[in-house]
Amino acid sequence: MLYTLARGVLKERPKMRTAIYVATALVALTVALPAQATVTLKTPIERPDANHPSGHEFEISRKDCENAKDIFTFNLTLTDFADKELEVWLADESGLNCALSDDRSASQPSHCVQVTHVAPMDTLAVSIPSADIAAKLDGVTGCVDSSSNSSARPITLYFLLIDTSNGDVTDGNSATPFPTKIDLLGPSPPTELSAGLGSGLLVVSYTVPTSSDVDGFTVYCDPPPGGAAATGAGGTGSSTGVTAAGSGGGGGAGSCSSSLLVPGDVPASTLASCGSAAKSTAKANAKGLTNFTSYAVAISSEDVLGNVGPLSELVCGTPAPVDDFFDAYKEAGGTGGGCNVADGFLGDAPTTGALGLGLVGLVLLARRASSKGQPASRRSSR
Amino acid sequence: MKRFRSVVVGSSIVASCLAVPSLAQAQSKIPNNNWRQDSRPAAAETHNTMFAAELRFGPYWPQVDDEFSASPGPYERVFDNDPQFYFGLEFDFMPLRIPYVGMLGPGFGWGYTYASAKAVVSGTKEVSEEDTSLSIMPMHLSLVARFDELQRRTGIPIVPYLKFGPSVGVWNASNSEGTSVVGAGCTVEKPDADGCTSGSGVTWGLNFAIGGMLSLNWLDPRSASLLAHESDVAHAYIFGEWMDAILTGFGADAMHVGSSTVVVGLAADF
Repeated sequence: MLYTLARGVLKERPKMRTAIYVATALVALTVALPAQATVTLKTPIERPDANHPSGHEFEISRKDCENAKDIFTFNLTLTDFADKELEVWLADESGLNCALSDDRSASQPSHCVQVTHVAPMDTLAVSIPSADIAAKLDGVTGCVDSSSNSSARPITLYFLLIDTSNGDVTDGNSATPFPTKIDLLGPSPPTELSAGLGSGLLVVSYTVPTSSDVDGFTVYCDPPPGGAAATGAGGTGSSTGVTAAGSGGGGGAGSCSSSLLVPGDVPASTLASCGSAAKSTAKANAKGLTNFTSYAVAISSEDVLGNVGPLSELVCGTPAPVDDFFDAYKEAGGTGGGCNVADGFLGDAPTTGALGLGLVGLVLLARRASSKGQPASRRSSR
Repeated sequence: MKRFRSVVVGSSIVASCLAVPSLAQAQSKIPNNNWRQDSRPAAAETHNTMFAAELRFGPYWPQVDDEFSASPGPYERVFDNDPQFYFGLEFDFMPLRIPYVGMLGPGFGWGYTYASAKAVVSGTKEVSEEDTSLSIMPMHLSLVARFDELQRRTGIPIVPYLKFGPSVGVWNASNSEGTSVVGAGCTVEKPDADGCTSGSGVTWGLNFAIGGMLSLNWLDPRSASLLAHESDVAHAYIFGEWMDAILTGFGADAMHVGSSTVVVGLAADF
């Protein structure tokens, strides 16, 4: 009776019949397909102990690697993770896709490396020290990268929900990639150093290395400013063990040695620098030196992450007092000077000029505004 | 006769070549007929300008050594006597118009010049690698008279002018560490300690200048007219002037940082 009634209604209403068929098909599909697992990486990624410039926030330097407190915390939300494990894999080549089981297989010549694995939960915070990530790279042992290329090495971390079959994680939702870079090596040092003397300083000229990785230079002195020579007792007239090509002036890179500064070695992080220079500058001042003391000087390059590269060749020199223009002026009996007003003015000449131009611009605007306020007849007569 | 004919033919070819661009231009756009009244250059100038702005360049010989009788003085010994590059800006406000003469009012000028060399090692003639420099910022507040009635009444594009008034030079002598300091035990970090004299100062004086401006409006009257209509800039000029910045401190203890020099530049009135 009910069947007959329903059949009659459906026959009378074809649209309702179609809707019922579609709904039935959807229910059948939902029951037939397995539950879809998802991994969602939430932002921001937490990394409180690193302080890199914008665009490099998640890159790993040697200093980061050596800092046990530098830990990445990835916040994830997971769904339908029954019978699965959350695994974190690292790919250090652009062609690798850790979601594929072949690329995770150790039998392949190049393959992904597992970083860690955790039991899945609805919401999960996965903490990974940067040292653990760096250690998975080829050629890296204890934060020391033995590869020859000082450029940053791109990597991708994959967060995968993998079941017991360990097959391909083909569904994109089950694998979330996180690209970043690891750079444990500083750039190559400048070459062709020469030193010229100044009062309490040495002016070191050099050839800037061609590496695009260079972001600046650090100058190291032996003996370090304010410190004793690390190279033992010096000769007559000098408290240092630095052997210089000449004395009382600048030197070349010839017979110049120091046991504190070894060319090709990365300087110890505890070694105080005696100067610095910007990346495009071919001249750096070694400052804070004592006149008539021989110094050995070397320069290392730095990259944008602060990785210090190996030391350059050495150059030696001996600072000596110089007479600058004001010395010469006062010695000749000049009476001017002693007013600090110039520091504010001349230290900021471009700003002063810009202010002047701005004033002119303002007056122009005022003039224009006032002329627009004039009657049209007056304007047209001009 | 043959020679004359070849000259005529050659001249005709050159004239034809010169004429081609203007012919092509005439064919590619609407001819410039100056038919609009607004666009026509006036027979005589009628702009009521009261402002002027200048962009100035020139050599600058700081007269530091005038303070000393011995020659060469410290400036010449360190920097030689080569002129330094000077550039500056000036803005004049001339609300007073004197009939048949020109306009009058105050003007403020700012300039900058810089000399640099390597310091010598004390007690020797050996040149070190340490830089030593002297920067000077001459400024003046002058009474400016621009005699533009000739241009306004006859269209002759020349405007003589005079400037006179107080001036000041702010200067700074520095080395690789910063502002120089003289005195036993004095350092750049402590320039104000007892017995120390820092290498910076202010020198007062007078500024006098006489010059002439050549209006560029005649080069392209139509564009000049449009510029005046749209931006209120009545004239653009090139100018040359003799400037005497007498920065001697009026006899007080001061470094003489003025210069007597010729300055050229671009100017506009509006």
